[in-house]
Amino acid sequence: MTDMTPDETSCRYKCGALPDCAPLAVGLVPPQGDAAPSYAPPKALARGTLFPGLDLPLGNVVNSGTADIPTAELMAIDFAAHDLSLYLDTHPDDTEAFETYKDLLRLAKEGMERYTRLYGPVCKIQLAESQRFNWLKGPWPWEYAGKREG
Amino acid sequence: MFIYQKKLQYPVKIANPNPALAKIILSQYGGPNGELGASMRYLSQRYAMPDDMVKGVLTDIGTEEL
Repeated sequence: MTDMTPDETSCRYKCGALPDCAPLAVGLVPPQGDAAPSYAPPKALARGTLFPGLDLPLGNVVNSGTADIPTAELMAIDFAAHDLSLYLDTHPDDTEAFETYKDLLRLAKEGMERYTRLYGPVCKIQLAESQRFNWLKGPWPWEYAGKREG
Repeated sequence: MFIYQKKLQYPVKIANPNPALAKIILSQYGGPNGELGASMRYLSQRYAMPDDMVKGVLTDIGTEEL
């Protein structure tokens, strides 16, 4: 093996000190048992993970997000639908998943209509149903005030 | 948040692909004066913008650049 030059090997990548055709990396996926304990869906949405064990600080800032804003329900249903659509990208023939996706899309559409009636448009194209151009009205998504510390 | 529409802004029909020209055009999107950088700047400047009208303008221009 070691007397072969890189040109003579059948690998497409350099051998160097490794044996021919050594794998570049070995994936390590820790086995995950049950999904318990897990956050309730609104909390999971606000924390960015279903699993308390993965709800870790960034730098020295502890994650303390909550889902008590008007868009939370819409966020949850849109997220569920979008996530399933990613699965369908690689499994387009999974008819059961597609039926679930359609149900989620229907729920999302109803949720969007309800939200828009209460709070205004999320997309400019929704202004077709508005009395006036209320697109600019706040709060914009980053302007919900959390609890201040201290 | 962005939604992708599977449609262009205006019709494009290519009879003779020109990869050399495409390469030049694509290279202009990057770098400090390119659209990609500009879109990120416009969109992130919204967060410190107190005026609602300007928030709207920055959103629209940033979207256009994307």
